[in-house]
Amino acid sequence: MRRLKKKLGLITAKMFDVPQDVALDLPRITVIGNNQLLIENHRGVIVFSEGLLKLRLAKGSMEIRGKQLVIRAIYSEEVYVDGQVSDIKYFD
Amino acid sequence: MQSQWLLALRGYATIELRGSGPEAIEALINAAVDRKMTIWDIRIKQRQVAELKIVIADFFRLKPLLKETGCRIRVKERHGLPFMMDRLGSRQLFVAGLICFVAGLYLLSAVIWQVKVEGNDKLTATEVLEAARAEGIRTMQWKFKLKETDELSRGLHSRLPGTSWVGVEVKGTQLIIKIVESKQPEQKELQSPRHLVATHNAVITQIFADKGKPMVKPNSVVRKGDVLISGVIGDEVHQQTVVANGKVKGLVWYTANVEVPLTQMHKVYTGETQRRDYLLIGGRALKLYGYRQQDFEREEIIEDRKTLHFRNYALPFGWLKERRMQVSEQEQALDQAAARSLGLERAKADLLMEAGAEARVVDQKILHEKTENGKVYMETLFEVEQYIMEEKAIVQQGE
Repeated sequence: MRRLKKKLGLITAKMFDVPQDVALDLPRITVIGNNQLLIENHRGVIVFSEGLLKLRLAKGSMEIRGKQLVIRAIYSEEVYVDGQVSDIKYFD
Repeated sequence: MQSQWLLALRGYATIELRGSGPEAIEALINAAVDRKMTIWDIRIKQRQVAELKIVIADFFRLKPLLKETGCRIRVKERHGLPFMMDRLGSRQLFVAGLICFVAGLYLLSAVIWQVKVEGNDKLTATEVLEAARAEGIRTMQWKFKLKETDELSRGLHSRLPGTSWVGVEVKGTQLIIKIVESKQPEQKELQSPRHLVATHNAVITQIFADKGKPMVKPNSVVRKGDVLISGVIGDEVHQQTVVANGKVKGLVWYTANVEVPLTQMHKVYTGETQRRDYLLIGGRALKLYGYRQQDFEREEIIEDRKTLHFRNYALPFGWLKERRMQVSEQEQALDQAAARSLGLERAKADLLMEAGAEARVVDQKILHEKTENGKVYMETLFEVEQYIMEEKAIVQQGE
């Protein structure tokens, strides 16, 4: 059932030319230089320290590495991160 | 993200979080976000110690979560209006001063500080102010004690005779009374009883008495000082003195001695001109154009002065344009007849100036004429019809 829904979403996204993050629950990541990040569609914080921020996603997780990471703001859907970002990794 | 202003208004705190387990802090953040709490500026200071900011309202909702996740908190800083108000509470004198200041300002602005009177001409300001005082308008009066302005203006209008409209306007702490005075007919000057007497020896041509008794008739001869219109009317028994008024015209003779030179000097422009421009600064003029010009021997100067104005004020700057025109004098020879008519014209003009309004020359006669030393001498007689009446007060004799 869930798989069917996902497939339907994919088909509609392709048909109506809608961005996939809207149709499917994919994260949208906006990076400004290497010091500002906006992650939309996250599902919560797994690990947070000065050098690492691990976020749960709808499917899998992602990892942000850097220095002096600060969560500038956090809401149920989006996270604003400041700091010197060096890596952004994605895990399925 | 919310604006700093809004956050300051709601009040927020910087708190320190200590987690008991390895992922306690993350769990707390997730739980807080799930409950839609406003938290921001989260930073990890060391292992299992974080610092974050939270709105006061959410701070109190945080407590049950702490137990769930096993975190402890410590408040480090407080910001915003609610804390400020809290702090103010302990400084009662300061708050009292603040309230007094605001109240004082309000009270002082609720008082009439100045009463102005505008538009009065015959009525004095003191009269108006006195009437206003009776209506309750005075300085240092509470505004809320005043009646409505239209009621005030009606009251003032009835108290002030000779006004056709009175307006009352409150402008801040100022009360302005505008007055339009009613126009009244001009009062006639008081005059004492008088005669009208002759100013010259003359033959009467017209007499028209407005008031008083005419004493002469047309074609009668009068001497200077004779009564023309008498201010005493009535017969011997019923007598009254009045202000005699009227118009009397008569023929008066003048002899005039006229001399006219046979050569006349005339000023003639030669056509040579020079232009000079000056910049005026204060009382000084700085010549800008027209250096190295030789002054004419005889000249006439036409000045065109322009001053800079700002609204109604004259500024100390201006521009002066000068036109200098060369003049030369020319002699013109006159023949006898021309000189004679010129002399007569001049004499007539002088005479009419002297004889007053509505005078006219009836006749003229040259009595004697001679030419000597390049001049024409004439003795002429003019007959002029003019007003000849003059006022003379009646002196009441004591009985």
